[in-house]
Amino acid sequence: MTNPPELRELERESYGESYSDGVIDIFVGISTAWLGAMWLTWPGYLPGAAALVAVSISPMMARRKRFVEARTGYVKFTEQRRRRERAVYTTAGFLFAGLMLVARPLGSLQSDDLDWAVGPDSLIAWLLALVAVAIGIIVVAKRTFAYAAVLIATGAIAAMVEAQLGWPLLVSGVVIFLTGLVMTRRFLDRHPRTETS
Amino acid sequence: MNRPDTDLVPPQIEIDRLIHEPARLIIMANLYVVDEADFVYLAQRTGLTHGNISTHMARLQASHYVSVEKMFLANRPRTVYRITEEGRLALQQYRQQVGDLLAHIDTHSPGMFD
Repeated sequence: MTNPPELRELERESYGESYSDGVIDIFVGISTAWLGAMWLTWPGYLPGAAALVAVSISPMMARRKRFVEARTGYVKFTEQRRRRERAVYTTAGFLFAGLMLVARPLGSLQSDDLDWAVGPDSLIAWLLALVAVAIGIIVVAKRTFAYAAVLIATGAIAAMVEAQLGWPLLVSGVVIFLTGLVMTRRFLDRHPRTETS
Repeated sequence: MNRPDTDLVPPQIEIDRLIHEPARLIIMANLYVVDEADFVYLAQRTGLTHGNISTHMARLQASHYVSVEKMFLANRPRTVYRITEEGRLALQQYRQQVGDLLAHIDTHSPGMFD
């Protein structure tokens, strides 16, 4: 089904609004900060930490759905939209997992070894920023562009001071988590819980 | 200000008055862009009261523009609405009717909306 322009905008706005609760932002913020902290303290356990994040996604999304629907009601978007959403989550998940797998071995190399202008850590931060931008475009969440900007900035700073990827991840995670908290607070103010339908 | 021609709404342009009502129009538009939605979602999106939605849904359902299903989701009763194919077509036709009307006004009374 192809919507006329004004209804396309209505659909985009409806869909974007369905992600205004901030719960996913809180989860992504905690996860990113957690991975950053693990990187800095126990880097050997990083794959396990990333796996823990991965298995937490499904129960988190189920609880989020109950939390949101109790306040905004139930909606099922079109198959086209749901297909695109699944593709985004799957692609982002694989990209993130792949980056986490190569991050440690790649990050242990120095930029001189590879004759690169910047260290691999910063490159990975910027690749994560690209993932955030792609997600933002597809799920209509402009705030992910701000998250991407934070990742880019912290990656750049890490490159300048020759710090590890752990710091950009930790800082970005905290920023995303705090943003999620503010969003959830506003969401709760706008949508008090309702029992009727 | 230009005054409209008396032949402003030609008889061949019929506006679907069921959809033309603002509350029903916004309900239909919101249902058009999703597969299905429940009462609470529509109330949130449209800003209408529950009573308003019930009244308008009854009219839309009677005209087969909307279907209603009572179901259980996550062990909670829900009243779920879907726009029917007839309703989709009616909204598309309404959009065309309004477009034709505005084009007709523009032709017979140019500058009317300036």
